[in-house]
Amino acid sequence: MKNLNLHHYLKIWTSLLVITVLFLFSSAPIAQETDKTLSVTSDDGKSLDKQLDDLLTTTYCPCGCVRETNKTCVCETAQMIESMFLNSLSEGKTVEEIRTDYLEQYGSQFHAVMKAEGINILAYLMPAVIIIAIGGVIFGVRHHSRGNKFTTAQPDKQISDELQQHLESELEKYKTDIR
Amino acid sequence: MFIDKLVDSIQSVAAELGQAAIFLAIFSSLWAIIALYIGLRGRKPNIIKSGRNAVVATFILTSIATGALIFSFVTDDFSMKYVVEVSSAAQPLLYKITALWGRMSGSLLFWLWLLTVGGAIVVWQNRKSPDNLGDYALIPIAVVQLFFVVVVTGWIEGVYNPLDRFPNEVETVDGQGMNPLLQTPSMAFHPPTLYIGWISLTIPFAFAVAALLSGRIGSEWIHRSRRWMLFSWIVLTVGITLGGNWAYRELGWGGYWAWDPVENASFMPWLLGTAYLHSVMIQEKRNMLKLWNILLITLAFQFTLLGTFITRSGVITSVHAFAQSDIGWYFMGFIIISTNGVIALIAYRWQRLKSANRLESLLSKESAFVLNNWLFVGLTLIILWGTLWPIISEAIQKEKAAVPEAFFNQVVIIPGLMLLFLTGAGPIISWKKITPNNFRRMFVSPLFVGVIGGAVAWLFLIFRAHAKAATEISVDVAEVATPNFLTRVWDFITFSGQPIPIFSILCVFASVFVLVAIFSEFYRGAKLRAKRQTTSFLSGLGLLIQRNKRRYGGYIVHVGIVILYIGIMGSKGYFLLENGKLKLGESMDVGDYQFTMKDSFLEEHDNFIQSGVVFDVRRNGGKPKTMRPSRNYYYTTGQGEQDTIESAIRHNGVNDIYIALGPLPTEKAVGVNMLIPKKIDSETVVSLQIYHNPLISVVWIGVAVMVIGGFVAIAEKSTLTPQSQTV
Repeated sequence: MKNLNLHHYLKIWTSLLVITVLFLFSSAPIAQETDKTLSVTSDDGKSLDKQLDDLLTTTYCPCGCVRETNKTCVCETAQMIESMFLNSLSEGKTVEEIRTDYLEQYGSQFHAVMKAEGINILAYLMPAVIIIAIGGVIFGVRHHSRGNKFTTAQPDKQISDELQQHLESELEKYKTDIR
Repeated sequence: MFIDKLVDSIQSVAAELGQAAIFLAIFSSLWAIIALYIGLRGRKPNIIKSGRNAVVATFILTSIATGALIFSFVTDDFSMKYVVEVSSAAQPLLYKITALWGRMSGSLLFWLWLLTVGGAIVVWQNRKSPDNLGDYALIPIAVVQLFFVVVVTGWIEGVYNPLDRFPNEVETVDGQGMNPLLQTPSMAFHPPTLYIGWISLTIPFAFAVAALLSGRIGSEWIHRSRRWMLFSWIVLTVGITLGGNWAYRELGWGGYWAWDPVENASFMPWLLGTAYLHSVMIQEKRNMLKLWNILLITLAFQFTLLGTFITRSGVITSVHAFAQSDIGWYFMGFIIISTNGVIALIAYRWQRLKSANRLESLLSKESAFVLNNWLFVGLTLIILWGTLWPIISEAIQKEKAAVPEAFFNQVVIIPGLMLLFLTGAGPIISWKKITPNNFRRMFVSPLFVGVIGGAVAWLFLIFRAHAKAATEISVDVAEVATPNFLTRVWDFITFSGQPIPIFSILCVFASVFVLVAIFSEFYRGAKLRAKRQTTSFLSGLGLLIQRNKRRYGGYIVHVGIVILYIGIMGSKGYFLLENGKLKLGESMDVGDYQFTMKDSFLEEHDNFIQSGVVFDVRRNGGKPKTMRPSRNYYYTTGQGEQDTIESAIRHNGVNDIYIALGPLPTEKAVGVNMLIPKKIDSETVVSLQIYHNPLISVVWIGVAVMVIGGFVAIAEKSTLTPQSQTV
């Protein structure tokens, strides 16, 4: 423990943090704190209001207002669909059945929930891959730059094309003068 | 009479004059590229001057074209295709002018004009410059101008020249009018601010290319373009916020951000620009990341084009739209060619782009900046991925997936919180390597207070959740009396099995940490200044900011970011929404508020009729306040919706009460292409949505603080540090 200085300590914590972040990313579809639309559970014991709410919040309105659910869209179409959902629920259909019918009628792009299944798993995994890939590039560059032995701020030793041309012409002139 | 004749005669030639100006602008921008290149390579001042003049000429020519189009709007010249599409005689003057950017053709002309303004300013700024860096920068500017001039001519299929007239045989007496949703003050200013932000992002990119072309790879190009970059950042921040504010007020869904492709298109360049603003500091201080900075600004510029491509080509609507729209291919072609051009220049200057220094430690300010860049670029690519996912999924499985707002919220929340933490850690961590002393002195207090803040937030949310549960669920007295004390304590602290709002707690922790870190920086600096100058603390604070506007302006921006995060946390995480159906005289409750619909109204305006209801709103039975939500029914219905939702918003401290009305009773008008709203009577059922948006005003306050910080930072003049100068 004597050799475990602050630096090592912080490195360990940084590594743990990175692992935690990756874990959180991979479990993103499960972490539903910000997602109030994903509470699709069994219909048992749910009031009619809750079931209707499930349907309205998990389907997009087909009126043309892009990305507005039937819950938030303030148009006649959304109202009509709400009545339709309510009728279907009264007839004894389950939330899942009604939703399936709706999506068959309007298309899968009107599903306001992107479940982490099938091809969508790729969508959920890619953000973690992107973060890791960029990190890899950065660490690769850092590793590459280790060859450079400068450790303190150094003036930029590069010169512009104009100055280079000027120096070359001066050199030529100097050579001619010597001859 | 004379005025009318004059207007008529100008009207008869305005469009043709504008078209000729656009045509000539092709040659002027082409000449600018050729003359500047030949002049700079051959070191011929007269040819360089000719190139500069050509840039100014392009500005004059596009000004003529833009002026001609505005004139046609103002004078209702309905012989012009674009004027008919986006204007009408009844449209108010302000919206006749803003119709310029009402649709794609006009937007592109406006973009081109702003770009030429930028070019002319660069010419003016560099008129007395001792070197040719500014002239080199005019070459890429002229190339981008040429690209846009060609688009505006209408030669590319998918977009027509906004100055085109109808064939002679077509007679139109009135226009279709602009989409009513766009006829609002915030929409009048939102697009131009975004365009100005994007255009000013072109200038730093041009200077980066200039550095590669001229071989002046040091930090000079960064210093020359620093104010442009900051200006762009400020304007983009304002533009994006105006868009959010417009959505909040006009769309009736109670929110300001939904990760729509259009929103994402404006947000991605902002993220890259913010990353660039941080990474250039490492180049200036440590002579590192030269290549990265050039790549970053190139990426930021390309994302402005990519955003336009995504939103204007219809590519998001359908994967097939990509093939149908030539303008999409044209934009994509330019992105590919220009990116390859920059890559070729980078390869040419490869040796000169190596860093003079290296990162010494993972725990240093340099590393914090690198991590910051990692997260910003990562966030950008994640958002791009989510934006393009409908196309990708359609290409793979022939079925398009809709990417909901929740997806973006989930995938950006972790990098977003890490960035928030860095907002405080970055300013207080030392350069090169953190020492135990630096850690103790700078980090311990902010972390400690941050943890306390997080714990308080946890307790607050526990009590809030339990109070809410107590009002909603009837409590079984026998169960409460169960002697299992530990179980009850466990249930209490774990929200009785409900999801723990871990991200809210982390957000409060990080926010408190950042605020303490930043304020202690201000406090220490001001105290030292006051001591040295033997003056008061406040004067010391003023001096501190005045002496280093860039640094402390940046810190003010960081404070704004914290405020913004708190606002987003409250408004996105804890809003309430209730849908209802009421008749006059009926009431409903939302949270602590009681809403009574007591009256209705019908008002006639210049180009629309307003129909709405009057609400009495009481908080816990207190004094009533009036709210008047309505819908506007426009006379002309050329584009999109005929009626707009005019939400009623009442601020209660930093929280908002928001009412949006559903469809109201209407009847078809005789002889006019519009629906006439009917008076709402006691039998009419009005559907409505009521939101309680906590902390939403904090979002706008946060952005205002960010903008103030940006202006403080931009006030500092650039000075080159010795180690960053090009020899």
